[in-house]
Amino acid sequence: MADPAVLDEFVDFLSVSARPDLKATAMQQVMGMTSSGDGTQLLLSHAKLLAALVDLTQDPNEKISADAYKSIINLAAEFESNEDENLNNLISNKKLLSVLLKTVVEKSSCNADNACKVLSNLTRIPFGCRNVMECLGETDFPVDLVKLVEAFCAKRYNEKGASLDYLGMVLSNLTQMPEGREFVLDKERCVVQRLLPYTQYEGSTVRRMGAVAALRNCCFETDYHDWLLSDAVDILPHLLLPLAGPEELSEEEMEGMPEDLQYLEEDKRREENSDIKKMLLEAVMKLCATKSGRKTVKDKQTYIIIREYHRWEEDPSLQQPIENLIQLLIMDEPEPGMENLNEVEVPENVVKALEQAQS
Amino acid sequence: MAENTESNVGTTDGEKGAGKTGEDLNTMFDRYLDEAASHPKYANKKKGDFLVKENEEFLKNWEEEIDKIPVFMKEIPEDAGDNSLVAALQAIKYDEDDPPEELAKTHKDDGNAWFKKKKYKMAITAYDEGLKQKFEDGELRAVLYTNRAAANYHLGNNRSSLNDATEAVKHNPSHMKALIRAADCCMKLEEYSEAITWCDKALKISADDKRVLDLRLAATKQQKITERNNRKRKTEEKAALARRMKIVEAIKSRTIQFGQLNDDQQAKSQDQLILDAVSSQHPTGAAIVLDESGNLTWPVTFLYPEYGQSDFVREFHEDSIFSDHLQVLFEEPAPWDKQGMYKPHTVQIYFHHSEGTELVEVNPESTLRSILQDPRYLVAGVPLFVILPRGCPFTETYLKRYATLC
Repeated sequence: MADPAVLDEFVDFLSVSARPDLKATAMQQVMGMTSSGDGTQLLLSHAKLLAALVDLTQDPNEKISADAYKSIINLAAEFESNEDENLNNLISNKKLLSVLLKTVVEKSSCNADNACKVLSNLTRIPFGCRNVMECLGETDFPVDLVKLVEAFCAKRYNEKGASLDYLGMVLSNLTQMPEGREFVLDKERCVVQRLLPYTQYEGSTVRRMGAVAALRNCCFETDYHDWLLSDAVDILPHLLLPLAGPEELSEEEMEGMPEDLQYLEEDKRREENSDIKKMLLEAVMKLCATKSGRKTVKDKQTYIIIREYHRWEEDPSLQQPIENLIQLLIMDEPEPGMENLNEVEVPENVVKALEQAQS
Repeated sequence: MAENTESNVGTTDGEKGAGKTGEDLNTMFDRYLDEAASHPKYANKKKGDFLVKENEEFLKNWEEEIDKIPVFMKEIPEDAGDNSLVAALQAIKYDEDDPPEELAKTHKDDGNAWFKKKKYKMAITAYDEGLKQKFEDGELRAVLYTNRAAANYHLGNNRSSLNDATEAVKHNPSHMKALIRAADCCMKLEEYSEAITWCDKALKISADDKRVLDLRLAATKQQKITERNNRKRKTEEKAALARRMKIVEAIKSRTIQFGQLNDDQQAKSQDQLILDAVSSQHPTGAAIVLDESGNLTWPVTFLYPEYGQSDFVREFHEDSIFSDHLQVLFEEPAPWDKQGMYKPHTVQIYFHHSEGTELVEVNPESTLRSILQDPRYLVAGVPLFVILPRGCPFTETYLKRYATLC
C-alpha cells in the first residue's frame, strides 16, 4: 500500500460520487494510514488524494465526512516544523481552509468541532497562521475574525451540539500575529472584553487555555497596557481570579483590590492546569513592563493574591515564575530611564554571564 | 436621538390641505372669524369702548377657541366623553374600511404625538390600538412595540417596557432601538448579565455603537459590584453565625435550660431554642453577648405584676449579683410606686418553676449565672424575673395563687 501508484487508483474510490460501500472502506484505509508517520507523509505527498479527502469532508454521509475530518486532523497534527514541504501542501490548500472556516461558523454543521481541531493544528505554525489570516482578510470571503469570536463567545452557537472549544486555540494561535492582536485589541469594538470571562470557564480546559493564551498574547502589546488595565477592559482581575483562592483576607488587604477578587467564597478553587497558570503569571508580568502599568497592578493589591497563591502552589516548575512576579511587585521603582522593562538594554557582559550560567 | 419615537413610514398628515382646497379653507376660515366675532358671546351689547374690548378678548383667545371646535382640534381632548362631533370625526380618521396597516400607522402617529407631549399613558393607549390591528408588516409592529416600550420606560414600568422591547425584537431582530431599550430596562431592573446579553445582540448589528459599548461597560461594572456585595453579605452572615454558634456553645457548656416560646409553632430542640435566643435581637438592640474572657452578658426583664410594670436590663453580667441591679433599679423611687414599697431591700425576686407555675425565691446575693443554671429555671427568650414587695397582701395572694395553680 506504500506505493504512490497504488494510491492513484485509490483516489477513485474516494470521490464523493463513488459507490458508498467502497468509499467507506477506502476511507477506513486512509484513516488507518494517518495513524503512522510514514502513512501521513505518503498521503500528504499525494495532491490528488489530499484533494479527494478535502472533498469528502462535505460528503452527505456523516460517518464519511467525520472520518475525512479525523484523517485531516491527524495529518495536521503530525508536524511541528515549518519546513516540511508536504505539510505546506495541506496548509496552502485554499479550498481546505475555506471549507474549514465556513464549517466552523455554520450553525447546523456536525463537523464544526472537527474543523476547529484541524484549524487549531494548522495555525500552530506561523505559516499556517498567515494563510488562515489571509483567508479571513479576503474581502469577499464570508468569514472574518469577528465571526469567529462571535461563534466562540455565543452560548450554544452550534445547533448540533459542537462546543467550539478548540476555536479558542485557533484564536490564541492567530493572536501570535500582530494582525490578530490588532483585531482583538480594537478599542472601538468589544472583542477582548468578550474573551475575559473564559479565564474562569469551568466547562473546558481547552477553552480556558485558548482564551488565556490569546489574552497573554495581547499583553505583549505594551502600547495597549493602559487601556487593558483601565475600566474599559479591566483585564487584571480576570488574570488573577484563577490564581486566587478561598483564603480569608482582611478588609485592609482587600482595600483597592478589584471587586471581582473580594470576599471570595470558601469553595473558591484555583486553576489546576499548570500551563494555564504559567500563562496567567506571564501575562501579569507583561503588564508590569511599563511604569504606569506596574503602578496599576501594584495598586490593585496583586501582591496579596500572588502571595497567597505562592503559599498554595506545589508545582515546582511554577515556583520561579511566581517568585519573579513577586520580586517585580515588591521591588522599588527602577531609576529613571530604566522604567520600561521591555526597553532596558542588558549589557553584553551580563548577557554572556547569564548564558554561561544557563549552560 | 435618544428619546424620540419613530415614524419610519411616510406620515399621512401635512400636505393634504394644500392647493385649491387650501384656498377654500381660507375663505371658510375668514367667514368663520366674521361670524364668530358677531356671536352673542362676543357681540357688542353696549356701544363704544366695551365693544372694542370684547373683540380684543376674542382676538386674543381665538386660537384657543378654534381648537375647541371639533374640525380644528389638534388633539382629542382627554375629557372628550360624548362629544358626538368628535366621535364622528374620529370615525373619519380611523375609517374601518382603511387597510389595517394604515390604521395602525395612524394610531402610531397619534401615539407619537402624545409621546412628544409626554402624555405617556395616552401614547400607550394609541400604540395598543395600533397593535390590535391585524397586519403583516413586522417592521411596523416592531416600531409600535418599541415606541410603547419607550412610553412604558418613561412611566417607570421597566418590566413592561422590557417585554415590549423583547416583542419588538421578535418582529425585527435588528431593531437597534428595541435592543438598546431592552438593555436599558435590564439595567434598571438590576439584571446585569441580561443587560450584557442584550448589548451583545446589539453589537452584532452595530459593532461600534458607542451607546451600546458604554451600556455594556456599565453593566459589567455593576455586575461585578453586585456579585462582590453578595459575596460580602454571605461572608458577613457566615461570620455572624460563627459568632452566634460560639455563644450557643458557651450557653450549652453552662447547662442552662431553654424552653419553648408561646408563639413557637412546633417543638424545637434545645440547640435550636438556644440559637433562636442568641439570634433574636431585642428591639432595643440588646442581645446575649460573649466577651473576650469567655463570659456572658444577658438582657434581663424584671416584672412588677402588682402594677403591671416592668424593667428591662440590657446588660446583666452573668457573674454580677441581683442585689447590685436592684440597687440601681430602685435608687430612685419608681414613678408608679406611690406607696414606696419598692426599695432595694424591701423587694423579693422570684422566677417561675420550670415545671408548673410555682414561684421560686431568688437569693439577691446570688449571681445570674447560678440562677440560670438552677435546674428549676427555664429561659424562654429573655431571662425573666418577678419582683414583689416583701410582706404585702398582694404578694401573699399572688404567691398563693401561683402555688395552687398547678
